[in-house]
Amino acid sequence: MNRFERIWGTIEDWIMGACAAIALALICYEVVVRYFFPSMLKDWGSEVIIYFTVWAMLIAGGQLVMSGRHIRADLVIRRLSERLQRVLELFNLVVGLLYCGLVAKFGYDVVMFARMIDERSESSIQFPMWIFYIALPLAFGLMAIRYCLRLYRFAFRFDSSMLASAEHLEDRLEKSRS
Amino acid sequence: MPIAPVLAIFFSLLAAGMPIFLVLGVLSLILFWREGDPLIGFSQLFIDHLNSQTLISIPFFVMAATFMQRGGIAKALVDCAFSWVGGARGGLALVCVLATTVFAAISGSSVATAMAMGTILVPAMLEKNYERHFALGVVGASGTLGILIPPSLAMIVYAIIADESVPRLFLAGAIPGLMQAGLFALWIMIYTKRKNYPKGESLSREEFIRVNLRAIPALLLPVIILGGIYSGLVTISEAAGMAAMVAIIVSVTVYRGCRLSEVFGIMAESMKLTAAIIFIILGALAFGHWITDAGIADQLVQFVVSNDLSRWQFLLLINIMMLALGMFLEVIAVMLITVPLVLPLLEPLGISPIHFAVVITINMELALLTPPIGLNLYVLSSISGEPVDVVVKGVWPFIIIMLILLGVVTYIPAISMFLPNLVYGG
Repeated sequence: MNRFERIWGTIEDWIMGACAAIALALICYEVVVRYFFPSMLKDWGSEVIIYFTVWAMLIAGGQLVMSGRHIRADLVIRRLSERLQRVLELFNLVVGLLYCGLVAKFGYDVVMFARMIDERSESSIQFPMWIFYIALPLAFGLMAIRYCLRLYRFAFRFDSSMLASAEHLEDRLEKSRS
Repeated sequence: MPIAPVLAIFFSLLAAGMPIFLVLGVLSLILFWREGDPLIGFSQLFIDHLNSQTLISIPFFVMAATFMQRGGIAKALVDCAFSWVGGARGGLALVCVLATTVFAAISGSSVATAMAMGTILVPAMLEKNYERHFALGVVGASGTLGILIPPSLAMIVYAIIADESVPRLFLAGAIPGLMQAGLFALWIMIYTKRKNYPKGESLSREEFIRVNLRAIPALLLPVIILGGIYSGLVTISEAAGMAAMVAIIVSVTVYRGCRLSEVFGIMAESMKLTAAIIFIILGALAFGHWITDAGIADQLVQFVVSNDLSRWQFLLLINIMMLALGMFLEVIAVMLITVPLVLPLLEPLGISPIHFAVVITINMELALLTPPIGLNLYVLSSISGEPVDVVVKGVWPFIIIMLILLGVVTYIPAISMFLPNLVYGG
């Protein structure tokens, strides 16, 4: 991992942590206020909690691609010859890039459409929905970029540690902590 | 497009090691395109489903579990359980079952439960000369309770896909979960008596009081979560948020298992753990959408009707299929692959989706334990440094017990339906 990627990852971590912390604080605020100071309760609380939480979750996608933490069944592929593993991994990376790119593109269209018709939330803040919707093209865009990076490495900087059969128990465990 | 070739492609892609979110997503996108639906609808579908109250409870339950595991809450619960049953024959094994039952009432994740309990109890049991495979088996199997006893991440995911009520689902898992804990305890008592394990030591009265007082903040967590949900005071996502907040406060100030400076990082880590599930859920929702839209649901119903499958035959078939899938796939994946396909069949066959959720969840517990891919096996193997084979040897008796439980719960719906019907009416 080079320095640029580390900084990028750290920035993402900060955004995720901050969004999650704000959402958590808002949830607790809502619960407490509803029972003790109902007059201070705002009608937009639960909607804003969703926005922050979804942003926090989706942004994590890119890092999952980079570190290979997206859950998969590698039982079969681990037992194949190195050559065949290389071909299949390449295939998986290309499909990943195409899929994430397409969803990002159509996600962008959704954002633009919501902007065009000026779609707003129903609460009193009338939040412009396209801002919330950006999370989708952003997340899939981040994943597509990571797939590009991995493809580049796979094609030009290949070493056998990138194959499923080289993964150790600890990595698998770390990945599957959820 | 007929279902058979779709499933063939589906399993080929899975076998090729493609991430599950990609398999479900790519396939759904292609099917969307072939049906002639505008593809912008595909991304719109994702966004609509993300804008959900239920969905956002998942990251906060994961966050609560992560803090509980790292923050010393698990240790307090183990000490408390020890003060009650530690003096019996095979006491530590019973402590494990009791502590995981309480821990599971806070944590919605089985792997987090097994990891939290394993790091404390496996070394303790080995020190008392428990057989290695037995010690590992007890922790691995008890750990699965995390997803059956409410709250349960698995049930929340099911609720999202099947559009069911989360509180009802939670209640449905309670009795089967307690039955599982009871059966495990019974087996431990029989086994340790047969192998003539020595009795554990009992605590002095002062020690007993001290340990139990110390556990009060940890024991308050399930009261807050379940009490909050069933008194109607908070929603599921609020309960999850409160659980996470209390877990953070208790971890940092009372048990001091983690420092304030670590809190932010653990929060971000919880989001990554959740994201791995969320992207699969999105794929599964799109796949489920295709199944209903393209008339596949009708095809499946036709198939069941034309083959004259009765309810019990269908349930048997599904159980066998899920057990087989569970041997090779990750737990949440088993559910997300099966549920969209099977859901349209439940009503024609007169099976309650709530009852079915419990059947699926027990299957998922088994998937955590069945080799070659059973996550809890790897967790225990990594904690203890023993090869996976030793863990497998240890969990076998528990797998058999769970298969019996699965049979009973599958064919006596009243076990799962009693509590939800009692509380919410039939």
